[in-house]
Amino acid sequence: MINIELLVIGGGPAGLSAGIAAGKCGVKTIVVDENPLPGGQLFKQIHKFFGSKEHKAGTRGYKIGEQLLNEVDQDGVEVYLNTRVWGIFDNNIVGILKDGKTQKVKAQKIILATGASENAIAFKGSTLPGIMTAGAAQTFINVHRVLPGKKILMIGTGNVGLITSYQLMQAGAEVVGVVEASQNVGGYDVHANKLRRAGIPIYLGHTVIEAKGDIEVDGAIIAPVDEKFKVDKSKSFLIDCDTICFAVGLTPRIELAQMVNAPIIYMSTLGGYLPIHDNRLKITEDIFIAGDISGVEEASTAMEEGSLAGVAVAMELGKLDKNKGVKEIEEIYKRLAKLRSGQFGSKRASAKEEIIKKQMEMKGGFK
Amino acid sequence: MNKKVDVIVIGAGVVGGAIAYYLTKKGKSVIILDQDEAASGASGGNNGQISIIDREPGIELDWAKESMKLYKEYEEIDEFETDLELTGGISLFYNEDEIRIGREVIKKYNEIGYHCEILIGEDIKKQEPYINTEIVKGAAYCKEEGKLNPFSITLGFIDNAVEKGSKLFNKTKVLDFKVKDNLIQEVITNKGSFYAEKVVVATGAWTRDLMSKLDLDYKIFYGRGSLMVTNPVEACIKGPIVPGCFTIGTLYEGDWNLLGLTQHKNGTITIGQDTRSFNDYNKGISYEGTVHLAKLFSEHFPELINLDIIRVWSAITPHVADSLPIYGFSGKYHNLFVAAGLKGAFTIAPAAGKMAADMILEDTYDHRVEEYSPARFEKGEKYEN
Repeated sequence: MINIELLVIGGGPAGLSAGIAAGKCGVKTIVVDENPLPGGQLFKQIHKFFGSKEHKAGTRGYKIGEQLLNEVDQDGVEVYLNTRVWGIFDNNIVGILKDGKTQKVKAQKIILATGASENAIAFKGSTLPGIMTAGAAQTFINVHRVLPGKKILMIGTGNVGLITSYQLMQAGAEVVGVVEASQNVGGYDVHANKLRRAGIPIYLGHTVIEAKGDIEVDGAIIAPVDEKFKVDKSKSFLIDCDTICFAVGLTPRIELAQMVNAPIIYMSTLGGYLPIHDNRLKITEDIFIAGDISGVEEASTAMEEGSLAGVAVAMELGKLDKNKGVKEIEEIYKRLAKLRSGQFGSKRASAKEEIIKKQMEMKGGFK
Repeated sequence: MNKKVDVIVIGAGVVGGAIAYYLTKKGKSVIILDQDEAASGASGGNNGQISIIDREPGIELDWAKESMKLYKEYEEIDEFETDLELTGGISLFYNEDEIRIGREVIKKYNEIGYHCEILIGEDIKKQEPYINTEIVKGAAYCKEEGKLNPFSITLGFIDNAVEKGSKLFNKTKVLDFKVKDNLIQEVITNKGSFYAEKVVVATGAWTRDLMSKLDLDYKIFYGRGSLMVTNPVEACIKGPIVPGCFTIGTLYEGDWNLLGLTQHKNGTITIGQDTRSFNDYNKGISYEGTVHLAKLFSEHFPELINLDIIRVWSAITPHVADSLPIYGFSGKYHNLFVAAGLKGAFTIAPAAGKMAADMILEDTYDHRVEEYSPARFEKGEKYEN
């Protein structure tokens, strides 16, 4: 059995930031990730980040990933790759699968930074080869440098859909259109306008009702939908494509939180069911969360939340002076407030407040 | 103040549910209380098997027989799905000794009309083609065993009772009782007090705790079982599979080789094991139990090792010190009826619930359940654990 002060589950932006924050305070930390590379989605993100300088604006995603890895290394945090966590049991015993064998890790504190998984939608033919999530397409082009197809139809105009479409185009594919069921583009106009300038049609108020093809996709039938999302099949038409990508939202990966019986809440603005946490991202006596598991946001918020959880753990373990820690957390909250402002951000900010309020209302505190 | 009703049923599991269902059918006003929610304890955490040959001939087998008829009735009069399927079931034996005892045991069931036989070696594969006969040397087959859907049944009882006017209070924990003249006057909960003519306690493993509030010491303990469920797959396991030691009474404390499983109508396989951790309140999941269970399953079904486990949980089940149910009116509190410790409750709950409703309303009294009376634990001596 491995004994450790802090186990961070998930080596994406939140998990690495948590490891760095705790490691800096001298907390003996292990970060585990089931992938062969740490960094989560950052290594697929070749675009520059927005926002202010403190949020690494202007830096490309994979560069941020490299910076985080460097810091983790400097802080003496161990990173176990190809390591899957399969369960959390009594007394903070965590079952990990490493090198084909299961073993136990006993951690004083645990941070869940398990992220989110991509959603899919179902229609006739939606399991044909050639249909994949936007994240999968991004992995093809940005990690493995392979085009998933030549003519791509994207479903969803959130930032993931818009950015991936643009990157597919940059990688040499033809993006034949972006389909969006609602009447408005979901993501930032900056990204949408880049596509428009490149002449890529954005079909607002449309949805895919069928994928055509015998052994793989060779077309998609799309049809208009009204404001109540009712499909008008009489006006459907065929789009020639060999690949269909889903960019239809993300769902927090909360299985491990459920396994420790953390109370769960439904928040549609944050991606669905989430563990209820306090203002230090704590969900049970010894377990914290950070990043998309606490509500689907962005890499920048995930990094701040990771730092927050890392600082909170260091304080609880007595490795960080209380006053100093409180001050650091205040600073993090100031930065988070900036990230959670504006048209989209403010909705997330109030959803987050609601969760924290809910936690305070719960009787008996943590288990 | 809550209005006084005819009966309060504490515990929304299959036993409490069946009792509430029949009381409601007889036109009584019923309130069902549960500290969590319906089917959240052992009734929602088991393999859903019909077990016959682990019961002594007598009232339990009568209940079992009647219950199978009642399950059909529930479906026929379109009240709820039970997914009942009498597939036959097997109890596993690992050595010659167990097989020998097994032969003796099934004799008494054959004598009273059950279709049981001992399967040896490759014959076991006629029932379960994927089982590893290098480990499993023999099995007791019983044609009258089978499987059902525990959720659908428990919720079916309760939803029906609620539809007909009974009330279910979830997350309602009984904190205390107010008693006068040997009658329970008031059931005090975290959501206020409830009043009824009669009180039914059907709280499974939690019964001892609850009864301590009435200064009663029912010798009922808990065991924690670990279970897991796979993704839905094609039909590959026919009937319920249970550890033979339950059938032949060769269970030793600390015994780990306890594998039980059922493949359900939707294709999922639940795999369970009693970890023999007595008096363990903890509803958490043990690392050792889970790893051991996965290992046991893969040894027994080497061809099925690539199934995905999608969820793991634990269930707290009751064990009564003398292995008999606690069923009947209390001798000390005249309006208190207890129905707890009914082993493999899904096999007998419909009939036991129906009889309980009759007894509660004083329509009948059945001498066959005399030895189950809670009064045997009400003589005053405290049980040293």
